[in-house]
This record gives sequence, structure tokens and C-alpha cells, in this order.
Amino acid sequence: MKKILVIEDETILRKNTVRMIELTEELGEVLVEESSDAREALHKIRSFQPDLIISDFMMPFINGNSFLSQLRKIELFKSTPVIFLSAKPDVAKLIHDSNTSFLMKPFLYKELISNINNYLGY
Amino acid sequence: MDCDTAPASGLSDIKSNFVSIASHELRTPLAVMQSIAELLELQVKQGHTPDAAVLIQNVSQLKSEISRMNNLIDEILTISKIENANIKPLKEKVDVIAFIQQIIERNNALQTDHREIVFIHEDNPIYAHVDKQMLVHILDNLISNALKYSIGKPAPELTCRVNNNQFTITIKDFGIGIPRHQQKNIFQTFFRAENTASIKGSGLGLFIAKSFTELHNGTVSFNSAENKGSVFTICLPTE
Repeated sequence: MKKILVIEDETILRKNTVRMIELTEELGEVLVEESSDAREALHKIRSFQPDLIISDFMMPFINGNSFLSQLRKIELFKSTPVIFLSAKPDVAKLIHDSNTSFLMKPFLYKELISNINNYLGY
Repeated sequence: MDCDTAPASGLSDIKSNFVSIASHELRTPLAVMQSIAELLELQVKQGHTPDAAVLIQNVSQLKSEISRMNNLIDEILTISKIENANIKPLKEKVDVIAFIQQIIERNNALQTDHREIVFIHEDNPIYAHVDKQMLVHILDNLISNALKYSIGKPAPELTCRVNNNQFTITIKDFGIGIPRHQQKNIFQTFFRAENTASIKGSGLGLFIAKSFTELHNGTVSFNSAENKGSVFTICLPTE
């Protein structure tokens, strides 16, 4: 079973994203966990060990860029794919990492699932 | 507390980022609304139509996000008017004590935790020439901040006193306070302190409150300590 971690400080958006992934039959059985900020997520990933991370970019405490650099310092997550969700179109320029992609908020459900499929290979 | 004006906000730097940050802030409630619509559509397509209670909750969430967007647009338009010097106070003579009492009662009625602002004032009326709408905005902002950043703590206190040709309004809360290293930024547009992440806010209210105060030739200042609380003081001329 594949494991996905969703990091988003907007509670409704986070919970709805988790639910949409869980309801998508074409993804098969997936285990989805959630975090409200990147600091909490960096603690959670060590035990949860996600295959894919979906994360907001503009977050409290640690932004997407800092989160990614801290994530890549952990051997286990050196190449774990990250899909960033951002309402700012220019943040993609800040990231130089081949295992990341960006979805602009508000994003379409189909775009999100297509991105997940690209990384998890369904 | 004295009545020195708070530090300048570095407005020219902020202006260059304003449109970019504003679009980000507007897209966020849109993303929430989109997720509600998409999830509903997915559930219906899969034959899992939510029950009435869930649908009512969804409608309530949509209305809340629409209201959030609407407030944000109002605040952005107000800031645009302030920055274009396109807004002037329309002053009229007001009994400040009675006027503040009305504002406090309205804010108390909106509170879900039943706390009520403690209003400390002299017995005599204080008459001043102010723009009523602007004073409402200033006090709504400071009172709502004092309440939302002090959940679970004693009710905030609002004191109003007159001294010569000026009156002073002090709003004291016993809440989370503002981290010391971020205090210089709090009047910047869209700035939110790092300890406010779980509390909703646009980061525009204090900028507008400060601007409206200064349009009255008044000053706003504050003292704050993290996990102890904040005291905001407004000094306004009576004429």
C-alpha cells in the first residue's frame, strides 16, 4: 500500500484533499496522513515514511523551500516526490529539484490525481 | 505607556509585493471553495451523496469562505484608497464613551466563548470630532484581535481617558502576545506573526487601523510580551 502525506494549514482544504485521494478508486489502496504545518510533518515522516508528499508552499514556521531542503537532508527522503500546492505562480522558480512538481491553487482534482499517478505509477 | 508613533512600515518595499501577495491571499479561499465543490462532485458521482447535515456544513463552509474573500477585497480596496491618498476622515462630533460602548456590545455579541470586554472609563462623556466609520474600523480591529488572540484567557480590558486636547484608548489583552523579533513588522500589510498560524486573519487590519488613526493626526503604539499579552494604545485629538 502506498503512503501519501498531505501538508496544508488550511484545515478544510487539507481534509478535503485527503478525502478526495481516499475516494479515488484508480489510486487503489492508499494510506493518507495529514499535517497542518511542515514542522509537524518533519516529525511525522520518520514514522510514517510516505512514498509521496503533497504540500502547501506558503506555510507557517517553515516555507516549502526550507521544508524541501530539510527533507532532502534525510537519507530516506532524498528522492521522495513532493507535489507543492501554491497560490503564488512564481514559487516554482525557487525550487531546483527534479522530484518536485507544482500545482497552482485553486487546483483541479483531476490535475492532482494525474500528478499523483505520475509519481506513484498507477 | 506613551503615545509615540509606531515604527515606519517600509511601505515602498511592501508595495512592490502587494499585488503578488494579494492574489495569493485571494486564491486561498478560492482553493478551499474549489475543494468543497470537487469533493461533493466526486461523492455524488460515486453514489455517496452526503447526508443533509454534511451538506449544511458544506454550505456553511462555502459562506464562510465567500465572507472571507469579501472582507479581504474590502480591505484591499481600502488600502488602495489609503495609498492613493484618496480617503479623508469625515469628522463629526461624537460622544466617544457612548460610541465605544456600542462597538463593545456588538463585539461581545459576536463572541462564542461568552467573554465580555471590560470597559473602564470616566463617568463624564468625552466629546471628539472623529470619522465614525474609521473609528469603528480601528476599534473593531483592535478589539477582535484582543479577543481572538487570547482565547481561554481573561477578557481584554478597554480603557478610555481624556487629557487636555486628546483622548487615549488602550486595549489590553492577556493572550499569546507578539514575538519580540517580529514586533517591528506588525503594521506591514499581510504580515502575520508566526504564533498566529492557527488563528484566521488577513494581516491587513492593523495597517488600516494605523493609517486611519494617522489620518486623524493620531498615533498608535503597543507593548507586547509573548504568552503574556499585548497593550495597544491609540491617541487621538479631540478636535
